[in-house]
Amino acid sequence: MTLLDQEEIDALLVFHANGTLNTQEREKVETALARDPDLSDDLSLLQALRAEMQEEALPSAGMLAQQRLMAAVKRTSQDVPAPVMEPQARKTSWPIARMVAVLAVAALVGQSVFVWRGAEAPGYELASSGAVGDLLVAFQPGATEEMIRETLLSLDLQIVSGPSSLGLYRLSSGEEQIGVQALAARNDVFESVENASE
Amino acid sequence: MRQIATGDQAAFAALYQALEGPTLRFIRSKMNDPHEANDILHEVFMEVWRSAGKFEGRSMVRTWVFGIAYRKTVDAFRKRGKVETRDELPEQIDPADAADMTLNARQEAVHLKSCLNGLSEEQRLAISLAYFEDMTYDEIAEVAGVPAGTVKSRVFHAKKLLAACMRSRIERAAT
Repeated sequence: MTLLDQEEIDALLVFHANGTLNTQEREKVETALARDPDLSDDLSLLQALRAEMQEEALPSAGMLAQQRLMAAVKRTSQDVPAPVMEPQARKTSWPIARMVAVLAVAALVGQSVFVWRGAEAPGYELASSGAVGDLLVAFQPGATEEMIRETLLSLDLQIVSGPSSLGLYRLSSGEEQIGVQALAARNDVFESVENASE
Repeated sequence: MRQIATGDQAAFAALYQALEGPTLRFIRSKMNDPHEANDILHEVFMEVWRSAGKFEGRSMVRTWVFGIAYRKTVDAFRKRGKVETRDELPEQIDPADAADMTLNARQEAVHLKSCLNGLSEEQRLAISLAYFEDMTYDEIAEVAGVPAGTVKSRVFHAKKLLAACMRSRIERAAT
C-alpha cells in the first residue's frame, strides 16, 4: 500500500465511523481494517469520539431569540423600513447614540465603563471590576436617552456592556435584584428583557 | 424551502425549530461568546429568510444553512480583525495536562475532548461536522467552501493527531 493509499484510508476511516461512506469506499476501508490491527484501534477511538459528541445536548438560543427573529421576519414581510433588529439599522437610527458614544470614549480612555450610581457612589467603575451583567435588554427605538437614564437610575441598574451587533445591552442590578418581569413592564423603555444567563 | 420563499412564516418557524440547535452548536464551536453566537444565529436565519428563493435544492437544506453560518462566523472574525486562516498542523497535541489515572469510559471522554480542542480550527470544524452532524466529506466541503480533497486531508491529519494524543494520554495514565 502506498503512502497516498494509506492517507486515503485514514481519511475514509473518519467517515467510516459515522457511516457515511459509499459501498466502494466502505469495502476499501474494511479490507484495510482486516489487514491492520492498528487501524482497528483507531476506528475504536473515532467511534468513541463520535459517541461522546453525539451525547452532547443541543444548545438553544431561547424562546426570546425566536420571538425576536420572527418579529424581524414579520417586519421584513410587511416591508416596514429600517427593521429594528437589523444590526446596521440599529446602529444608525437609535436615539441613544450619544450614550453609546460616551461608553465608547470611556472604554477607550481607561478600559472602563461609565456608570452612574447616584450622588453617594463613585461615578465610574472598571469594566473588569467583577460586575457581570445579569440582564440582557434591547431598548425601544423611541426611547430617549433621558427616559433610559431615569429608568436605570430608578431601578438601580447599570449598563455593563453593549451594544452587541444586535443592539443588546447587559445590565447589572444593584443590591436589590430586579426581575425580568419588572423590567418588561416598562415597555415604553425596553423592547425585550431576558436573563443574561439564559 | 419553496414555502419559505413564498413568504410562509410558519414554514420558516418550523425550519428554525429544526435547525436552531445544530446551527447554534456549530457557531459556538467556532465562537466562544454565547451572546455573539446568538447574534450570528439571528443573522443566519435572517439570510435564510431573505435568500430562500435562491436555494436551488442541489444540496441538503441543512448543508446550505451551515454554509451560511460558516461564512457569517468567518465574517464576524474578520470584523474583529481576528481572521482565522490557520491551517498549518500542530506537530503534536500536548497531553501534559493529563492527570494520572486509569482510563475508564468517562475519563476517555475527557481525554478525547481535550485532544479535540488541540486540533487546528479547520480540522476541528471537519471533525465536528462529521461527528455532531454525521455529514459526508462532500457536505463538509460544501459548508466550508473547499474541495472534498481538502476535507480528506484535514481529517487525515486530525485523525493522526487525535490518535497520537490519545495514545500519549493512555501511556501517561498507565505509568
